[in-house]
Order: sequence, then structure tokens, then C-alpha cells
Amino acid sequence: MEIVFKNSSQKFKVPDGVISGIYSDSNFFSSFKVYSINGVRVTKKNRVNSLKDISIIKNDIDLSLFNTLEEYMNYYIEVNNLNLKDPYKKILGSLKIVSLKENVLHKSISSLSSTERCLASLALSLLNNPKELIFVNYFDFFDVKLEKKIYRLLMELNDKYNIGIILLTRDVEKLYKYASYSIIITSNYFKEGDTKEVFQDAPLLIQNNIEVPDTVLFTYKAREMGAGIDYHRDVRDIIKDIYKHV
Amino acid sequence: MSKKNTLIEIDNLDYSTLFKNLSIKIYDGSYNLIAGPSLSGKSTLLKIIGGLISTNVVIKYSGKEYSSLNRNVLFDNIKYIDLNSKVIFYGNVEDIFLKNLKNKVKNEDITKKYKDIINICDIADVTLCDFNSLNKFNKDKVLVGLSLISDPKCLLIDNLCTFNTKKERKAFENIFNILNKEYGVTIVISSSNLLPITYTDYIYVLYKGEIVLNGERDKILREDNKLNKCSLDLPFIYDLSDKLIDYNLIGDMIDDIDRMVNALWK
Repeated sequence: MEIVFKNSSQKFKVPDGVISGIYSDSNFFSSFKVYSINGVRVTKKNRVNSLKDISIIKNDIDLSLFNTLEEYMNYYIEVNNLNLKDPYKKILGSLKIVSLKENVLHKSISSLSSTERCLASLALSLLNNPKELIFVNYFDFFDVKLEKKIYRLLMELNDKYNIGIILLTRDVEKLYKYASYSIIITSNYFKEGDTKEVFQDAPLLIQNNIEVPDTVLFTYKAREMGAGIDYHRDVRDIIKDIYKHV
Repeated sequence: MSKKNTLIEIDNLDYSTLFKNLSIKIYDGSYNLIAGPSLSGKSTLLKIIGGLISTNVVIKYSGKEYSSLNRNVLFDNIKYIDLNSKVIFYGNVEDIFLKNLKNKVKNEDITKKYKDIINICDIADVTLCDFNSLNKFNKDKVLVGLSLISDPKCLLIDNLCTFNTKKERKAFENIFNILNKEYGVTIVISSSNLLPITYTDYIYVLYKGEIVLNGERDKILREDNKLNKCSLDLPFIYDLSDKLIDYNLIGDMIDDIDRMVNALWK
């Protein structure tokens, strides 16, 4: 899906076919709204229908009214009129995709760990076969192995099933690592483009109070000292470069 | 770092399917990180240490033994803070503090204690704001501040790295460092990554129900392979340091980007 977001002064497009990242210093959805999807304007009349294929996944789910995750997932299916032939099978399938076992369905809400709640949030969003997934500060609870696993899953959803992926985050390290296309929006700065290029101007980012990924900051400072190293995402590539230039 | 007195000691903890014969010692006045992969039981371990989950194991606190029956006496001394909790308080920050202070502190000491906590937690500019209108960063700082009212000897901080930017995480680390170095509060942080290690004295790695690595920070950070097996990656500058030491390009761990660049190219 190609989505255009707009507020009173800005409009930008999130491209189709790549994992995109948005860095924003405030609550993004309080200022930006979806303006168009695949070239079709979203209006008051068609808003509900237009947005039904977009799922927003946060790092927690509010389970306060329910005893178990199974109850909540059944409620979600009912409330969204998902009309599933075999809801339990669909739920199990969804859990399997995010590496959660069946027994998590029957655990009491209070005993679910932060990671389980986070993964359950993604499992839930997959129930209605969305065409676009927007993750809001999603990777914070995961260890590095699980984070990479979830990222590979997102790549697969994007490549094989054409599901659009947008990572909305305040963690520039995650954005730099995982997004191919990045958009930085703050109250006084806007830049979009290929992720490596968007984050390359370290002094300008710092001047505008935007955090710079450590790999970029190191490379920038090294180049200021005259070292001819290039910008890389992986520390192993940086080390190879350092070895050539020390 | 020389060994200090043991503040908290747990031996041979068995709990549910999470822990089997787990033992851990936390030293008085130390700054600690308990790191482990997702679902390894970090939060559960902190809650057991803090007396919030009952187990059949005895906890030694400052050499004295406490069973689960009388562990609630520790609640003022050991404070557990979950930075991912959804807390609602009614009223502005100042009112919330003063209400809580009245229950714990003599009237004549309230103002000084309030000012001290506000300064340590750097929340002076939000004291007149409604708590529920604060962003997560400020809410979390208020929670930390409230935990300081009873002058705890030990803070157990769960979920430090969630939702915070690098700047915010560093701000919390600075607060805990002040509490540790200037007030002698023992700090225990849990995290599913190794990011909050700037001021850490000791690191404990929790994996498959036991503490598989423990020791002084720099020693643990050299165990890259073992850490990777526990789904823990070194933060960039430590990873770079570790590898550059192996290549004999630097001598010791460097945890600051400017110093690293100077060491390599100045």
C-alpha cells in the first residue's frame, strides 16, 4: 500500500514495497492523518472502509476486561465481524506465526510477560489479514534474537505477501537497522529518503535535536579526523574499514 | 572493584518452570544489571527479590533471613518499580508527592525531602502538571521519585529500556548513578539487552532458569560469544572495543565514541 500522511503543513508518502520507518518526536497520530491510500483520497465517507486493511500494532494490549488471551482474541474476532470459518484454528495459526505457543491462550492475563503481550498484539493484528501493518515503538521488549526473528517475519510478510510495513519509533538505532526508507519528522525538521542517506548528516541532525545512530556518529567523527571509512550499518563492516585506515 | 558486603542473597531458588536452583548475590551499594533474553524471567526474579512473589526459598537481606511470610517488612527497604506499568494518579505531581510524604515523613522534613527528590529525578518543571497529562518519560521519573520517599536501600528497576530514546535512557541511568554513588542506594536493573551498562558494576546473565554469567562489568563484556548464545548483543561501542582489542588496535575497553576515535586516529 502506498500511504500518504498529511497534517496542516506537511504531506509525505510512505512508499510501497519496502520496510519504512518514521521517527517522530511527538505523538505522530495526534498531528498526522491518512490522506490517501494507493492514490485514492480518504474522506469522511470512505474512511472506515479505507482504513480497515491497516492494523496498528503497539507493544501492549489492553486486556483489563478479560481473564485470558483467548477470551480477548474471540472478542476481537466478534467485534470486527471477521466471519472466520474456524476461529480457533485461525488464532492458533496467528500465534504460530509470532512464535507463541497455544498454552499462552489459557494463561491468566496477569501472568503474561511483557514479551508475550507484545507478540500477542502482533498475532491479533494478523487475524484480519491486513494489507498494512504500522508498528508503534514495537521492538522495545525483545532480546536481539527475537527482534531479528520478528524482523525476518516482517520481511517475509512484505516480500512474499505484499503486506506493507511501517515502523513508527523513537529509537533511531532500530530505524537505521531495519528500515530501508526513513522519514524524520519533528517540529522543526523534515527529511525522507533512503535510510543511510537520511541519517548521514550527523551535525544537522544533532543541531535539530535528533539522535544519531552510534555507528553513524562514530563514522562521522572518524571522518572528521581524516579517516577514510565509509558509513555502514554493521559493526563488522566498520571494523574492516578501520583496519584499512588505521 | 573490591567485594562489598552482601545485601541480598538467594540460594537454590526453584520457581514454576522458570528457575531451577538459581542463586544470586547482590552486593550492598552496587549498581547491577540482570540481563537475559525475552521470557527468561527477569521481571519474575526481580519480584521475588522484592518480596512481591512468594516462594518457598529464604531470602537473606543484610545477613538476616526472611521467609515469604514476613517478607513484607522489606517493602520499604527494597522498592520494585516497573517502568512499563500503566499507573493512574489523580492530581498534580506536587499533590501526589505531598500526600505520600505525609504518610511517611515527619512534617518538618517534608519540604526538604520533596525538594531533594524533585532535584534528583529532575522533575521540577512538571510538579504543577496533572500526572495523567505527562509523557511516559516524566511519568516514569515521577514513579522513581515516589519510590524514594521511604529511603529504600535498594531499587529494583524493571523494563528500563522500553519506549525510551537513548537520551531518556541516559537520563535515567544518571538518576540511578546519583542515587548509587551519592546516596548509597543499591541499584538492580533488568533488561533484555545490554544497553544500560554505563555505570554498572556487576552484570548477571539469566538464561534458561539460571545465572550463567556473573561478574564485574568489563569482564562480562569480553565474553561476546557466551553473551550471543544468551541472545545478548554488546552495544555498538563495547562491541567495537571488544573486537579492536582482539586485533590489538586498542588496549582496554573504551565506552565513549570520542575517546575511541582519538585512540585510533589522534
